[in-house]
Amino acid sequence: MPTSPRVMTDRALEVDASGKTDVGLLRSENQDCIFVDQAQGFYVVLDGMGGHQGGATASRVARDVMVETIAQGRETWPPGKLLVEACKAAGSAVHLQARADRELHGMGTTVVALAMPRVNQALIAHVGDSRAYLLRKGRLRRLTADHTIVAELVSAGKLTPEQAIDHPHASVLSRNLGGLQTTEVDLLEVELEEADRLLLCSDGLNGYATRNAIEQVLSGAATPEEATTDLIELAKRGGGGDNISAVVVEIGRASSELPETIEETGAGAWWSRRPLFMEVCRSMGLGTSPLASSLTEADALDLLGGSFCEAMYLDLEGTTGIHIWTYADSLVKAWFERDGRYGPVKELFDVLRAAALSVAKDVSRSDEDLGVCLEIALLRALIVGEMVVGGQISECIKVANETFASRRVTTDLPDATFANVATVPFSPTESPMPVGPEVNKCLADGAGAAKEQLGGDEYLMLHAIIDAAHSSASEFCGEADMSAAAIDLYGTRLLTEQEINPLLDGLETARVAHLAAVDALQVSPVARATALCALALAHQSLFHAFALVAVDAGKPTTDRLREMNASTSLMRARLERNEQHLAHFEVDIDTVEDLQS
Amino acid sequence: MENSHAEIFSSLRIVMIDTLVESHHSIDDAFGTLPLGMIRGQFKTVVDQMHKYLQSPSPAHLYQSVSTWTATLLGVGLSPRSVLRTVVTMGDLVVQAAKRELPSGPATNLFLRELVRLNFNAAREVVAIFNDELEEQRAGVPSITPGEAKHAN
Repeated sequence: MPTSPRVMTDRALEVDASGKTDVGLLRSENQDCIFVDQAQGFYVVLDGMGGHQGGATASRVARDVMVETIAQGRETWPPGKLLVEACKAAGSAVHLQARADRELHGMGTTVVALAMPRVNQALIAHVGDSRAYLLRKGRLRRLTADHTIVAELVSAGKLTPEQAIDHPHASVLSRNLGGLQTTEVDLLEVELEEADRLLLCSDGLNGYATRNAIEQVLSGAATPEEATTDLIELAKRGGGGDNISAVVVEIGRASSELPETIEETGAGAWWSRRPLFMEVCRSMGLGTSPLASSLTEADALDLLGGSFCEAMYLDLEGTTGIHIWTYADSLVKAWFERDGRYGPVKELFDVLRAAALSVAKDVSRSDEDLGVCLEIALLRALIVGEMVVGGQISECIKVANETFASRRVTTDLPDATFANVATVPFSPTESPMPVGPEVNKCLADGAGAAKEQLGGDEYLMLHAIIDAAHSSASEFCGEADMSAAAIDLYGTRLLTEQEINPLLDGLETARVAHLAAVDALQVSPVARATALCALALAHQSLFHAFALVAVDAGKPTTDRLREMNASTSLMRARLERNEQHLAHFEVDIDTVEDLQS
Repeated sequence: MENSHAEIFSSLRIVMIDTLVESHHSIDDAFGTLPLGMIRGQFKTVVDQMHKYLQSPSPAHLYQSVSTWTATLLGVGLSPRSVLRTVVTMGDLVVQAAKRELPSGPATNLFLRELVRLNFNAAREVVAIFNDELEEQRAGVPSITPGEAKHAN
């Protein structure tokens, strides 16, 4: 592509740039699109939208049209105008294609584009919520305002910034390329300084990483290439729920205060004390850690301590936590996958922390402030390690939850043996229970004692209940016998009361007294327990049989009532029909009378 | 020394709460569903607990604060991984706010170190809480498979 004297800077070689795009962790397709042309001084990030295929098509169509427009118009338009016209042409092309193809209907794309006519001049055009940031002296500043409905309401003074945060349409775009035939494009110009860094990104980055984290990574990376890699990694660590795109353009060398100090002196101080670090690790038994049990002590020390030391050095150099993250992730993941426990991991990181802090302490002896800054950096890296460990434990919790849930579902199935067994059996056991003489005596004495306690008007009924239960418990009579006893009891009810409730109360009173009397007997515990068990079953059987008798006794009445209801309904229907006939007759009579008169 | 750190922290209290509220979308998406007043109240509690810890560092107090906050975040609907990330991010935001507001120099670095130490300890507590949860779950899961259970019956 030929160079343009208007768009391209004659000092383009002094600018370093890198761009990367990634599908992220949740999406199946990357609808983002980037373009990086360092020679032309032209950089673009586009974030397509519009369902399956539409989003990717929109961003790619827009990119191609923009590149072509820039190439063709460089001799005609001033740089700012050219950039805006390129965006508009792209929007128009996307719109036309969307109208021509039903499957692409509604597609569109955001855009943030950077042109650098001179090395110290940045022209930025944007539509939608893809953003441009400027890193200057270690501080990150956002250059673009999102084109969302809510943001525009805030600009118009119709919403406060606080109301905007919670607004349900906070992420709804008010503008995009392709939605309409023509699109309004915002253009801004920034005077650049030596060591500035510009970042263009899609919302897959700023939506999944804090501004501070972006600032830290962008200021800490050694090169734009490293910055884009680390930024995408950062967004993935934040969830990676969207496509992620980042373009970083550096003018000279970026720097920031604290990271620079650490980078230039802290990393060196750390690495120069590697022997001290390793010695502390060795003395604290790192070589015998269960996490490296298959290795010799020396190899384990080298793997666990040496690798940590190297990862820390690289992170101090770049003021990132990515190498420590990788170190911890590979180590801890493998450990937990082998069903390892947290204890040895905690011990490992305790040793590493103690050894690292001993290095910081040693640095403090010669340069206290550097020692403090180094400790801060070390602790932040160790926090990254904790995040890895915590993340892995979270995964284990998730798996344990799923396993537990699946097992509960399986054991709750109806074919489980206990599911079909009543909690309280109402039928006596079919096979006789072995009852010895002592138990028989116990049952007889208990029945006698209970009957002595029970007096009053209903004593006949209560005694009959105890006799029936005693008979059942001592002789293990069958179901037919219990039914006979229940019928007798029902007859007792008829002799005393015309209602069933007194008998139900009597069954309960007799049961309690009967069991209490047996429980109070001076017999062996085994005999007492056997007697109580037999009596409990007998009283339940009696109750069951009585309930059946009561239902049978009430059945004829119920049937008669049902028949009477049916007869009444029939009579009502006949009555209605007769009334209707009568009404007709009356009308007819009136008519005849009228005719006669 | 702790008291001077607590005093510095107290002077930045409002800035720190504001920073957390302004960044609540970035801390976790789940905060976007909560009323702003409730979010501010939660962050105010967190900042005050940090202040209390700087006044008198107590592991028991830290554990209580972290476990309460963890339970709150899980109640909001965050996954354990998100809870840990939220705790770390909030701590980091507080450090960044202090770094932004205070003049650079050794005294500020000492203060920042205290905050980072606190953040590390908080992260460690969260991990320990999750590990306790994991161990309890492991203990609650039957040690035999469903097939084996039927056979045993």
